[in-house]
Amino acid sequence: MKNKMKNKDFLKSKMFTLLVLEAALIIIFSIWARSIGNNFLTANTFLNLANSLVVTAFLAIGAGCLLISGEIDLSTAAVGAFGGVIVATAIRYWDLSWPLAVLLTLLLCAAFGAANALLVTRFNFQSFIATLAMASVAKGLMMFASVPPDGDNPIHVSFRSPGLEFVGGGKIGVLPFPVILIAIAFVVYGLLMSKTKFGRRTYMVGGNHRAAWLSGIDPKIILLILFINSSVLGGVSGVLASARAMQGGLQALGSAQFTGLTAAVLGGISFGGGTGGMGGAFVGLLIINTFQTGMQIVNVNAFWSNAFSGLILIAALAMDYFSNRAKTKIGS
Amino acid sequence: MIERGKETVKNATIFGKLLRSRSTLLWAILVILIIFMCFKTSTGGSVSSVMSTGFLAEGNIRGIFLSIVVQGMMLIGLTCLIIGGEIDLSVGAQATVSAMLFAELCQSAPQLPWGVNVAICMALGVGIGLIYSFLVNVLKFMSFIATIGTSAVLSGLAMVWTNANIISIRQASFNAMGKIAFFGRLPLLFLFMMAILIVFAYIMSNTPYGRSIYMLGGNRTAARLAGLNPDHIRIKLFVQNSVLACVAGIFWASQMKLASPSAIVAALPDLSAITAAILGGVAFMGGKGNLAGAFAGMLLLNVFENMLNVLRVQPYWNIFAQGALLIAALVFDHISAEQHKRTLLKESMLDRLLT
Repeated sequence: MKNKMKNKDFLKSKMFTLLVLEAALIIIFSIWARSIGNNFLTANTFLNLANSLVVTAFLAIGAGCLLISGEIDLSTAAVGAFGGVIVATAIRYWDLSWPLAVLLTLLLCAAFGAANALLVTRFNFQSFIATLAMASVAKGLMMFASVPPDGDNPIHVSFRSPGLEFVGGGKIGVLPFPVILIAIAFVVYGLLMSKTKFGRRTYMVGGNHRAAWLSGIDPKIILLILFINSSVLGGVSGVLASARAMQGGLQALGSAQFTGLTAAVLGGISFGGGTGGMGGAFVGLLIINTFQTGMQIVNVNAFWSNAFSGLILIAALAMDYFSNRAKTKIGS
Repeated sequence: MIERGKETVKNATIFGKLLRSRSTLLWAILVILIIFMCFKTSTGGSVSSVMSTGFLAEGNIRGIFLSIVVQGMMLIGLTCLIIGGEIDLSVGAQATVSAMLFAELCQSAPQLPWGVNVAICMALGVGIGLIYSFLVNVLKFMSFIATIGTSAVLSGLAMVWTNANIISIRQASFNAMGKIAFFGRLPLLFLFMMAILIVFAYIMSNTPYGRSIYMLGGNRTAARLAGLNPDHIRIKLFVQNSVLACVAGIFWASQMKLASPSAIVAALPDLSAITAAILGGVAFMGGKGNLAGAFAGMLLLNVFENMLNVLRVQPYWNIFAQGALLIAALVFDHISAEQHKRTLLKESMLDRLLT
């Protein structure tokens, strides 16, 4: 009896809807690809899919954690691009070994997060405008960092480093190393958010800021940790992007900002905070990437993907609104 | 206690108010910057060389005015929106789509007078504004996230449209409109923009509609309880903002004689306009500020940017400065608001003690 109830709950849950959506996408794309003479259901597709997850997964995790606490970070992609250039510059021009370069990069990215947190908690900025301005600052600094010592203009910084090459594209068995990294990250953050004191406190801050404060939680410290976390994860995805291309690119992570945010919202982490989890964010990410990979296989103009990423974000928000409304109706 | 009250009234004469207002400070900085620039950048010492080289040279001044034209149109709509408590982060994308539509119409139906095309683009603006107000009013989206999403949609569509190629415009009279300048320095389009700015400044300060925007931004619940309909005001705000953004796109096209799917967005006009408004004393949470201040903020921003150009500072410092200035202005706002609150508190406590 109890088991039956559980099954019913699962059938009604958002997770189930998302999994159905994912399955539907796969079916639609396989039929569409077949009709124009391509094949969607190949091992290659799934490897591409896994690879396309690499850069955006960390952004989705960072965005998800922050959204749960009721804030938003629009600077992660810019900070990530900054990190990608810094790691390349550090290895090529400053002759650092790659672990040291990565460490330095993540520290610098953490500084951006701390600055964001300071603006939001100390100066009462709305987080979106603070991080939007910070994105512009990070972009300027990124261009400054990419200017070679003997030149004047910003330029892509290519570099050589066997260690980072393995991080970006090496394989353990059949699985690419970064894919394993993502799997670990999702599990660790999933447990962190759902099972630890810190995670529960984050939900509380997002659910009701004042109640959290009254019950002895300091929201400022939680937000400081989360903003730093989000910037550092942005830095990680920047480093991974650079490691894959062996180049710190000025255009890196261009549209990844949306993908991360959209994945989190699509996965049930609503704006305003306090709900959702990492599992949903992962499936949300999977759906978006399936969609994008599918569009490539059926040969749709690549520029469409940018337009669609915005459209999916709006659709996800609308879905969120309707499901919330349905809930409050049942409650009242 | 009564004497103290009198003193406060005395201090608040018009002159004192003017001295303390944000725009006076901005105008002062602006004048100092311009004087500095005139002498720093001209090659010789004489008056004529000041007028012909460096900052005051014809090309340079016209360049400033032309970038102000596009930003100014967006600034007008955005300032009203911010005062009303909303925001739009997609004005650049809207201008892009409008310019593309205009160029496409000019190319595919050259026999049509281009005034008709302008009207069609403005209708596009009305449509976009209605969509935005639907998202914000009915679906209760926060306006920043709704407009971030639509910004991606619009700029993506502009890229798909021509596969990222530009469309050139061949309507001679239209291109001439972007080229006409009085005294070689003052473009016609700039005067257009100023006229619209003055009209909106009048509307904001002297009509019931304008005052209702302030009320909505200052306190939403109070506005609703006072019998205003927030949804209706928001529809008007979003529609006027989108129409102005679309006209800004057409002005851009008129200057460049073409429409590009990426150039307008790449210049980050949204962020510049927001920064200008905040610098000019518009409160980010709404309810405070005016167009004159915002305009002064925008002039200052553009002269500053131009100064960096003329002094041959690398352009990426511009991007950096845009973000840093926005943060600095907001921090300044916060500190002065807090000080204001503290003085009010202190005065009321003193009054209570004395009575």
